[in-house]
Amino acid sequence: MRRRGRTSAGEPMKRLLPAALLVFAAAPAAFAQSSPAQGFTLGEIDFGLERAYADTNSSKFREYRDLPNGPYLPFFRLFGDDGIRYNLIVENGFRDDARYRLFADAGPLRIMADYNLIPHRFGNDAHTLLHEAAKGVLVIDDTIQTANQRALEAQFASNRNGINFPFLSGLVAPELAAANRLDLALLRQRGTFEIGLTPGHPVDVKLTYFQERRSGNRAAGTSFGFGNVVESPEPIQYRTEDLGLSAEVSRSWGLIRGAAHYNRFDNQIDALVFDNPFRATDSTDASAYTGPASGSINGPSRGRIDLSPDNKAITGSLGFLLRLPANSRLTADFAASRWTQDRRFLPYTINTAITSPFRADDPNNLPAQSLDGRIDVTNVSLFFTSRPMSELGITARYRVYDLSNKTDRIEFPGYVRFDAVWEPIPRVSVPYSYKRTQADATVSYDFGRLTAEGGYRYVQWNREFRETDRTREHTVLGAVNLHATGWALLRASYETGYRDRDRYDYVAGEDASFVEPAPAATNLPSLRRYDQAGRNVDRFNGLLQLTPGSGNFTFSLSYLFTKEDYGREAVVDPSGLRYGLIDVRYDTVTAEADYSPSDRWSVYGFYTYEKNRNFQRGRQSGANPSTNPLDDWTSNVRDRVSSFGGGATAALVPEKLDLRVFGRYQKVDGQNDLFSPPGGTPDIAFPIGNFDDTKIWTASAEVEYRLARLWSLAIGGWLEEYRVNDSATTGLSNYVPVSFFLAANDGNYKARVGYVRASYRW
Amino acid sequence: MRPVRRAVLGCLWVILPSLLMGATSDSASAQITPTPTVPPHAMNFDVSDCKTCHEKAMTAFEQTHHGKIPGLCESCHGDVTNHLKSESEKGEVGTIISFKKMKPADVNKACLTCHDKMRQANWMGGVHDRKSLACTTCHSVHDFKSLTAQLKTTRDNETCFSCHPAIRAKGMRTSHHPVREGKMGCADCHNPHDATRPKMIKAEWVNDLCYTCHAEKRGPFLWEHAPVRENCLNCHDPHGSNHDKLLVAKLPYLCQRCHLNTRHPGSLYDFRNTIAGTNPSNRAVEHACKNCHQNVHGTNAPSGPYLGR
Repeated sequence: MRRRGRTSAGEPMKRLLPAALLVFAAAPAAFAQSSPAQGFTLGEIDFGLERAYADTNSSKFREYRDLPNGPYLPFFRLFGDDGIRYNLIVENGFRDDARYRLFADAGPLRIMADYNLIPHRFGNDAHTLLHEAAKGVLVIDDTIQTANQRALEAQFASNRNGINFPFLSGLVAPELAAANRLDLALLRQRGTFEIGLTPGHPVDVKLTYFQERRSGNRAAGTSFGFGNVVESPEPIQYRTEDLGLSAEVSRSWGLIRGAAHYNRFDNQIDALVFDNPFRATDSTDASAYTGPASGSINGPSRGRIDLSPDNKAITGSLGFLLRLPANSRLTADFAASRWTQDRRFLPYTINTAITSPFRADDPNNLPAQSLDGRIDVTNVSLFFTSRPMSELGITARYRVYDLSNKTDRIEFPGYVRFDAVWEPIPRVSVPYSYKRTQADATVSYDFGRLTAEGGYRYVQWNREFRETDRTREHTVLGAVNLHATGWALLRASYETGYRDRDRYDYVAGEDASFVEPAPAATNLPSLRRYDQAGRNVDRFNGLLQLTPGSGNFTFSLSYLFTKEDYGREAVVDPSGLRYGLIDVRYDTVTAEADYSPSDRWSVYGFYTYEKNRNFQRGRQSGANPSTNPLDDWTSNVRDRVSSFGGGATAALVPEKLDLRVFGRYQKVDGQNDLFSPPGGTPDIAFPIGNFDDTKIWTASAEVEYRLARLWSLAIGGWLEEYRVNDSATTGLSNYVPVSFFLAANDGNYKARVGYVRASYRW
Repeated sequence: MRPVRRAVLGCLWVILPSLLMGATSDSASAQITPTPTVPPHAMNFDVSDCKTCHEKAMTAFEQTHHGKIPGLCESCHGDVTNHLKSESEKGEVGTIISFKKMKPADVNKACLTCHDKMRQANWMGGVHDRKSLACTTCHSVHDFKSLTAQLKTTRDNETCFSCHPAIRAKGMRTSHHPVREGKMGCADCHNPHDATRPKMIKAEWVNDLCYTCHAEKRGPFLWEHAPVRENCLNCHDPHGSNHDKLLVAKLPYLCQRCHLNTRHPGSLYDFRNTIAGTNPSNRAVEHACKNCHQNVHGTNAPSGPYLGR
C-alpha cells in the first residue's frame, strides 16, 4: 500500500515535463531572429524558503495544495518577443500543485501548452486491515480471517445471540490496533497542448490534445451486506485523453465553425477485490447478507466491486453565425456525440460457494459478456438577437438536447446480493433516455438611464422509463438596470415560474428494471420525486453599487433569493400531506466595500450572510409501504453561514516598501430538526445539531522591500484554522456497529506558514 | 526513466518545436494581421508622443498583442492629434475617444471590431451584454493584473465575485472545487462571453461539462441511475457545499428525497444513529447510503441493480 496516495509512476513525468517546458520555451528565444523594432525579454523569478506547520495530521490543510518545507519556487516567468512572442509561466514549480504554461506566437502558429498538477487529499492516517496485494486487490492476512471465522463459528454454535457489537468489537480491536496506515489522496496530472494555425486570420484552425492521469486512492463504501461494511481504499488509475480539431471561418457576413473531438477514458483497474475480515472461506445461505449476526455467519471470503469502465465519446459539431441588418444576429449550432462502453462484464460474484441455480462466479453463465453500450446525443441550438433601435433589444433562443440511450436491454435471471446470496429476482437493464427542450425570449427597452427587460422561458423534459413522460416548466422574468446617477447602479431581476407534469406513475420508475410481472412496488405511493414533481420557483437577484466622488470608493449591496416550492403537487395521500422534498429556500445578502484613494494604498472588505433551508417528509415502513401517517417523519435542515474577509495593500515607502494583508473567515452552522408524530414508528425523532458545522479562517501578511531596481525581498506568512463538527464523521472510530471505517483524518487543524522570498525581475 | 532516455526526450522537446517555429517564422513578414480601419494621419503618428505623458499606460500595453496593431493608440482612441495639441497648448484634454466615458455598447463595439469571433462571437444578446457590461468592466488593455486574458484582477474568480458574491461564499465551503487554491477558475466551466448556452457553461449541457474532468461518470453503464444521467445538479452544487462531495444535502436525507421504500430506505435516521448517539448506524454515518451503494453514478456489474456492486 503506497503512503500518501501518490503514484511513483507519475514522479518522472512530473520532473521531466516541467524541465522540458522550460527548455522548450528557451528554444524560441535561441532560434528567433531579432526584430530591432519590437524585441524585448522580460522575466520574473520568485524563490525562497518556506516552512509550514500544522498541529494535526489533517489532510484538509493540504487538500488541494502542496506546502513543502524548504526551498520553493512560487513563480517564474519568461516573456519576450524577438520575432516569436513567448510567455512561459511557472507557478509553484516542482511541487505537487505546480502549473506550467507556455504560450507562443510564431507567425501563423499559436501554441499553448499547459501542465497542471492538482492534488486532492481526502484524509490522512487511515486505518485498515486491508493491504494491497496487487493492483485492485486488497487482502487481509489469512490468519486474521481464519481466526475471526473460527471465533464466529464457535460463538454461533454456543450462543448465536452473543454475536453482537461488543463481541465483534472485542474480536477486531487488537487487529485494528496493528492495522495498516495510509493516506488517501489522488493526483491529477493534466496536460493540454494546443496549436492554432493562422490565428488572427479569417480562417482559424486549432488542434488540441488533452491528457489527464489521475492516480491515488480514495475511500470507497464496500460492503458484505447489512451487517458488514468494510470501507476500503479504492485505487484510482485513470487516464482521459481528448483529441480535437476545430476550425472557424470568419467573414463580414458572419462565421462558420466546426469541431470534432475524440475522447477516451481508460481505467487501468477494472474491479476492486476486498477481503472479508470475518471469513476465510466462501459460503452462502439465504441470510448471508445480514451477517455476521445471530441470523447468519456465512458469506464470501472476499467481495468484488465494479470500477468505472473504459468509455469513449466521439463528438462533431457544426455551426454558423449570420450578421444581419439592424444589429441582428442569428446563430445556429448542431452537435452530435456517440458515447460507447463495451468492457467485459464481471461474473455475478466472486463467491465460489454460490452454485445454485448455476455457478455464479462463472462468466459463461452470464446472458451477455458485455454491454455494447451506446448513447447518442444530439444538440440543436438556435439563437437570435437584435437591436433594431438603439433602445430596443430582442433575444430568442431555442435549444434541444436529446440523449438517446440505444443500448440493448439485457435480462438477468437474478443477481448476487453483496457477494453473499443468490437472489432469484429477474432484472433487466434500463437504458434511460431523455430530451430537454428549452425556448426563451427577452425584450428590453432603454428608458434613458433605466433599462427594463421582460422575458419568458419554457423548459420541457421528455423521459423514458421514469415516473413521468413529460414535465413542462414556464417561467416569466423581469429585470431592471438603473444608472440612477453616474455613481449609482441598481440591477434587479426577478423570475417566477411553475412546473407541471402530465402523469406520475410511481410504479413505472421502480418497475422498469424488473422483468414482468414485477414484484409489488416498495416505494411510498405518495412520494413525488423532486426532479419531476410539480413546483413553483421564485428567484430574485439584486445589486446596488455606489461609487461616489472620484470613484476611489465603491460600496455594493446584493441580495439573492431562491425558493422552490413543491406544494404545487396534488396531495394524494389520505393524510393530506405531501412526501419527498417539500421546499427549498436560499437567501444571501452581501455587503462589500473597496477604497483605493491613491496608488499608495487600498483596502477592501466583504460580508456575506446566507441562510439555507430545505424541508422534506418521509414515512417509515416495515415490509410493506405504511399507510399510517403516524409513521411519518420530517427533516427541516437549516444552515446559517457567515463569511467575511478583507485585505489591504499599502506602499509604506513608495517604490521601496510594500505591505499586504489579507484575511477570510467563514462559519457554517447546520441544524437538522427532525420530527415524528408520537404513536407510530419511529414515534419520536431527535434533532441533529452538528450538521456539517465548519469554521475556517485565514490571516496573512507580507512585507516586501525593494533592495535594488531589479531585486526585492519579502517576508510573510499566514495563520489558518479549520474546525469541523459533524454528527456523521467527527469522532468516527475504525469499528462501529457492523462497519469498519478508514477513519482518515480530514478534520481540525491549526496551521502557520512562514516564508522568505526573493524576487528578481528583468 | 533512465537518464539517457530522459535527455533524448528533453532534446526532442527542444529541437522539434524550434525547427517548426524556425520554418514558419520566415513567413511572419508575409502575414497580414487584420486590423481596424487606420486613420490616414496615423501613418505619421509616433507612439512616443503618447508615451511622454502616458508612460505607465504604454509600458504593459506594448508587450501585448494590442501593442502590435498598426496605428497603435489611434486604432482605438481615434485621432489623437487634437488631444496632443490641446494638451500642449492649453493644458486641456481636447477631443479624444476615452473608453472611461463611453457607453458600454460603444466600448464593446470597438473591442468587437477585432474580437467578434471564437469565444466572443456570441457576446451580443447574452446576459452580460443585456446588463450593459462593457469589455472594460472586466478587462483592461493598459492596466491589467492577470497573467492571461488581461483582467483587472489577478485571477478570474476575483472579477466574477464582484457581481456574484454568493458564489464566493459558496467557494469558501469545506467541500469545493480548487478555485480558491488557484488550480481552477470560473473560466474553466463558464464562458462569460457566450449568449447561447444556459448559465454560459462551456458545454451543451451540464453533464457534458462535468464529464470533461469526470469522464469516469459518462458510461453508459449496465445499471444506470436516472437522475444522475439527467443532471449532475440534481445532487451536486459545483460552487461549494458544506456537505461531502459537493452534495446539495447530506446523506441519507438526499437519497430519501426520492427513496422512501420499505424497510431501511424510508426509515428515519436521527441523532440516535449518529456517532455520538445511542445506536450509530452505517446508514447515517460516514458515507451513509454510499457505505453500501457505492456506485451511485452507475455500475457495469451484473449484480449491481442496487448500485452496490
